[in-house]
Amino acid sequence: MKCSLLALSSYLDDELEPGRRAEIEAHLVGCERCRKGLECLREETERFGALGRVHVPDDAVNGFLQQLGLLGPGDTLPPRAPRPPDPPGPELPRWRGGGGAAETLPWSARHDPQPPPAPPESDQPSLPFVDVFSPSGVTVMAASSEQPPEDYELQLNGRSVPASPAPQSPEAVPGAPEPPAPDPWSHGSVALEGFGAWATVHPVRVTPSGLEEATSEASGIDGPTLGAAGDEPLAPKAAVVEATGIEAGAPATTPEPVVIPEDILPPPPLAPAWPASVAPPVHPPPPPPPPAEPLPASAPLRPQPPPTRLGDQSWLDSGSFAPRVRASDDEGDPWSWAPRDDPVPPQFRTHPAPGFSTDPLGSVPGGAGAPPGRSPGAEVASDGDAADADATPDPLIDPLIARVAGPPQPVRATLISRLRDQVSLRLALMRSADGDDGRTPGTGPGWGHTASPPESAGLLTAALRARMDPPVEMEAPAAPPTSGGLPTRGGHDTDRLAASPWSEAPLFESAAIAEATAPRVRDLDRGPGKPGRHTRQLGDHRWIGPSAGKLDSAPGRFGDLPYRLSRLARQFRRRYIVLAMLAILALLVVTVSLVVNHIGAPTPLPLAANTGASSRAVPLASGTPALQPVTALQPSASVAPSAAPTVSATPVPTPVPTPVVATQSFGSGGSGWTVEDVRYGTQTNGDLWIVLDFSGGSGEPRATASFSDPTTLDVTLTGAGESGLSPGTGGIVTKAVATSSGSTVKMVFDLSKAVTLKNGSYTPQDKSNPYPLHLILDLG
Amino acid sequence: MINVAANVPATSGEFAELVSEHLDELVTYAAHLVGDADSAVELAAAGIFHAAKYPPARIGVDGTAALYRAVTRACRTGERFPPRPHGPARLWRRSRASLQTEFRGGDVASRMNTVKRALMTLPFERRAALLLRNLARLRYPEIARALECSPEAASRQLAAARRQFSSVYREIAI
Repeated sequence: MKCSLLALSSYLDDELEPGRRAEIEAHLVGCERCRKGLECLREETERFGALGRVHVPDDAVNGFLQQLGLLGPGDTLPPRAPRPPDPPGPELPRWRGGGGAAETLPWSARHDPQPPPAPPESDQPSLPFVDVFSPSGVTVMAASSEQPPEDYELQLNGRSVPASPAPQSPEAVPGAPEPPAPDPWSHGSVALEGFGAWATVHPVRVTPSGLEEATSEASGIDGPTLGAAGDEPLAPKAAVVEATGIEAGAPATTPEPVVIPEDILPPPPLAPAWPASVAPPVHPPPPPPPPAEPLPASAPLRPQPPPTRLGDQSWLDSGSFAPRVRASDDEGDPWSWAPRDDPVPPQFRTHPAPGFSTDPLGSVPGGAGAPPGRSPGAEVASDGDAADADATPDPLIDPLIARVAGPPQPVRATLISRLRDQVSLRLALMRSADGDDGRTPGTGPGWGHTASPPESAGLLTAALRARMDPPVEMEAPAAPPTSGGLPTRGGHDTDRLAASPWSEAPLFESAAIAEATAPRVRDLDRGPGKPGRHTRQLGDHRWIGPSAGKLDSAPGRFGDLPYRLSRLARQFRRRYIVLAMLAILALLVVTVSLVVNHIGAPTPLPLAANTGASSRAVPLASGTPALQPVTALQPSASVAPSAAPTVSATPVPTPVPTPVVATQSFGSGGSGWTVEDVRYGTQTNGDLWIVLDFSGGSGEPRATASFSDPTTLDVTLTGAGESGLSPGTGGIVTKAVATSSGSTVKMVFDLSKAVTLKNGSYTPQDKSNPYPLHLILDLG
Repeated sequence: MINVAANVPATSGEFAELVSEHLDELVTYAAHLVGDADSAVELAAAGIFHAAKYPPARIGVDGTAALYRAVTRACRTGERFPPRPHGPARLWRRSRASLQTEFRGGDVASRMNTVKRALMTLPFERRAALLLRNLARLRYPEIARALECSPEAASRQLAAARRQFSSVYREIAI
């Protein structure tokens, strides 16, 4: 059988036939590679438990279905089955707190069969945080107003800490014998000064991934969320609330602080004061600690390094911590043999971190499923020898911690130190990436780089990459630092770093390292202004949700303008601003168009009063014998193109504009008619009808209408006469004169305004009039 | 022999019970599929609305897959319920009120953790295949119905998705 990812995937999902399944099981016995690959697939399946789950409340389901039309207004559904619990612990890998693939690690969480106690308030939104890490995640709950419970405890790797009085501070009694080194975990309750004032560490389970994710969520952290007694006051409340998604209630009472014994504390910070850019603590500083007592000689657990911060890089040259580089990126990849149809984009390719591998399978001697950097052999056996075991350097974890946190020393695997280191790392990276810490642009190491931080990679990954890449530079450390104790690496401007207020007083050495090297990592990951395809997707996605816009402006063609516009439009109160802007824009366009039309429009022509009924009537010069035989009542359209040459025998060099006059003819040419009457009638559309009544003839007398001037209408009737006709006035006709000569009658109408002759027609007799023929001239 | 019962349309109450049973998973699936918990309810509602309009004949057998198929379609096409206006009207607020549904955990679904970041780098179909298997716990035939492909194609998509997810996660996770 050939190794097949498809077969392994189907095998993992139990979707194979029994025969094929047995075949694969037989293959797995002898194929190490497939076994690793199968474990890797299992881990990936388990990782999906870290995805958040959405829960629609029961009371909202009915309304939801009613809106969809699936339920009537009065219909109700039976109550839903209780929400299934999160995957049990054994389904998770052991390094996530379950009993899965890998061995239990000393600092991993112990699966507690007892579910975590309910939060003190039922409406506490503890679900998000529990969802991320449950059932073995960190649960930080707000302290209730009453006295904190007595049995709160800190569980770490099976070290159940029963409630007990807090260990007394190591008050030095003169003459008394040195007390033995206390085992902190066997003694009891742990509270953190400055931390317990507003929050209670309810059963705390820490997993590496959970910790990484917890800190990765806190994109807006302004300070570390956890600290140890003796440090400066710890994180602002809002930071942890944002990190955990839990609103911490205002405590009415302050739990009695219990001092963590000195031997489990992380090393005192080399720069105890917070930088000025860090938000001030909410709570007053704790009382000054009791006078320090030298540690007993029997517990030399933490040799303090010389206060050179990172100036002395000699520890980097030690053999056990010297960086090493994997041969290739595919080393340890369980799928290196499989065809890579989807190669990892360049921005996701990381340089291997020396001393440990991000590959969960390949380079961890603990075997499949083990988290990077800890072998099961280094596991702490029991509660009794916890202190000794913690003091023993772990070959996999301690190099990691040492490279992140400082010079090599037997770092105790304590919760506080790990949390503090990781949070400080992320804080430093976020600050260097955001540049929103109040620094003046151009003074910090995060400025001057247009590239965005590598959101495709975890910040801690970036820090480690920054710390360990390129290996050539690490192997050849530069000259000793000149200012600020910061590491001097090739190409870095130490003066610029020293000028940064952040770099003057870094929280920890790791923070200084990360800050000093973060821009270089960004440049290595992708060039400025060249986000990759997947990076673009991530960047686009980052605009949605609560983390939108937290890091920096998303790359885009128009920057963040589209986002800001859409966000502005989505806001209810501001939509009117958009509407007002659109209205102003429309008004401006209309105004401009009106102005342009007014300026560009030609001068209005004089009123073409006598141009005929329609555009078909072409103006003629007055006196032009252009009468055409008209058979219809419609105005004649056949006219001479130009009258001027025909009128004058000699060509006129400069044509004189002649009055525009039209001549229209009506009637086919009857005879024997007598004009009996002239009537005027104003129509509803404002036109004036001049009606000539005829009697006693045949056919239709030929009528020719023309305007001698714009307000004078001449009508000549051929084949008709008149007998004492005296036409009156009406409408716009101010004067009417009728003269006859033989069989021709000429009538002149003086008009009060210039009009056109729209139409003219003969109509037969109607009932209301005794005359058999009428000529109607429509003037309008 | 004709299965008469197969042609009996499902009642709305039966379908509503099925939706009520899987509503959390459907909204969660939509949230992780599109990477936006704010739109998850609208997308899931659009899918459920479509599935209710054309319910499967055997709701007890195909109902779950039909629901996921409809939600996957809605997420793929961006169809929402209630529908959003098109054109410049999108610039201001929707005229119709959105679904009056509150849900918890949306912020968690929106947060960017490592798994989610790695997941969002996958193509849509592979992301859907991974979520349908690991989140919704569907079997291969159901995944095939949800993705509207053959079971063999679904298994190939899932294997490729796992392969790609492993590569990306290994690179970005520590």
